[in-house]
Amino acid sequence: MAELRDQHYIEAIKIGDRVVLETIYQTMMPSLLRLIKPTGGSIDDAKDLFQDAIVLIFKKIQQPDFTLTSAFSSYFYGICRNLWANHLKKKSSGHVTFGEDTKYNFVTDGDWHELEEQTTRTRIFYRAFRQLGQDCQQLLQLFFQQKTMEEIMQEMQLGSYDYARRRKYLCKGKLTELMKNDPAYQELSR
Amino acid sequence: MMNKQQDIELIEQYLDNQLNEPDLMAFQSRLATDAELRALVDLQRQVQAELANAAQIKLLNTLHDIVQSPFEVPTLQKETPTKPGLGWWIPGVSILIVVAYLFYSALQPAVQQPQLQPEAVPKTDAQPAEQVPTQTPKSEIPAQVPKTTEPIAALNPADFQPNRILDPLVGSQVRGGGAIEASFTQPAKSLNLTPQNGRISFLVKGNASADDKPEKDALQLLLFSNRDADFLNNKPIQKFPLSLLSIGNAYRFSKTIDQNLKPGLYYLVLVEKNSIEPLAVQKITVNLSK
Repeated sequence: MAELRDQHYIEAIKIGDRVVLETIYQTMMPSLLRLIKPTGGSIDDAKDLFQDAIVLIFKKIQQPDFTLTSAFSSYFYGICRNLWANHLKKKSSGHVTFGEDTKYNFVTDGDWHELEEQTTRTRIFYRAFRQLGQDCQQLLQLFFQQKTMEEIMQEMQLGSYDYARRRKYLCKGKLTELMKNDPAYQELSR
Repeated sequence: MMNKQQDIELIEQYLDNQLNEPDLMAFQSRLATDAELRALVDLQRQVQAELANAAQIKLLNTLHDIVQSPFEVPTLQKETPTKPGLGWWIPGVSILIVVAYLFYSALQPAVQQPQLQPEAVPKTDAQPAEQVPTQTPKSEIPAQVPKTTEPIAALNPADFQPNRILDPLVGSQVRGGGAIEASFTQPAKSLNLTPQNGRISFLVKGNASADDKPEKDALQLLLFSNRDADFLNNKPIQKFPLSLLSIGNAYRFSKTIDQNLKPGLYYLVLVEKNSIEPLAVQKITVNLSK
């Protein structure tokens, strides 16, 4: 039964099932808070960590050779612990705001670093995307989700092809500008 | 010099392989020398991939909505509640002892204050820390160095600093509702041990329950140092496999730990096999050898 439930969680992440994701959120948040609060983390940090971990799993399960080798809660907790350890490591390597002087060298194997960086980039993208107006968000999604120009013009009630094109470039320009100004992007680019 | 919008258009055409030969050559030569343009190409490549991933955007939108809902911070339930009304005097008496000791020390000018020398810590085969800190880690929980007749120089206060993640979990039902729940019955409370010939030996016992029949080796006992980083980096001093014994619908385990440990604070963490999420936590203080 437990294995079926774990697989159910994975499938829910794949399709973005709100009800199951809410269950994971309610189930895992107490563990996350116990993990991060003693080391200076807040509820908002725990919420960010929860979202990052789910996005990382979403990316991981796209890989054809992905198999869940432990209980979902263990897998999820392990990912959160690695993400949090790395967060503390970055924080402590800057100016002395964190009193712990021991090194946070989390140990992982395989493609962890790549997945973690991809997750950070997705977070930067989404943070910027949320700052765009609704029409910009919709227009960009339609453009890059293989809709035809006619469908886009009809759905967005845009008068001309040229106007739609110009709007797209404006929105994309705004989006990339917002991403470039995100401190996390600047940190990644260092 | 092109403006931003022209650059964005040009990059999109480049990424979509829509540039003609001369424009492509010109763009590539610009790319070779212009690091900012290269960064912009990478960024736009990412933006296109993220926007094209409808399933991921749906997931991100859902997660964004979910975390907006209020979340009540849970409180841990202690397995062994302390007697009501007695909780205040333990820290109170501790403070009095410290104050009395400081007062006594102040009246003894002839006695030289011992220096804290990390080198004086006896070397053992299991070191709880990577490096002796040069600065005492900040913690809301004070370190409780055991009283000893030995020179205090032999003890390093950093080795007795509570682990900030594990200490609040000691003696609590850490995780409920999972596939397996487990708790310690022995040690039922924090242990204080003095090594014999450099070794400590003690018995660990506990109970487990599970939705479905667990594998015999479903649980594992991890011994951690007091360092936060050792827990976060998943670096236990020792892993002990446990064997579950079925008694009716319940399960029991027991394990004798015989370990060479230097003085300090340690944590026993019960986890599922292949997991690092604590099910139960207990702590041990190791004193100086007699």
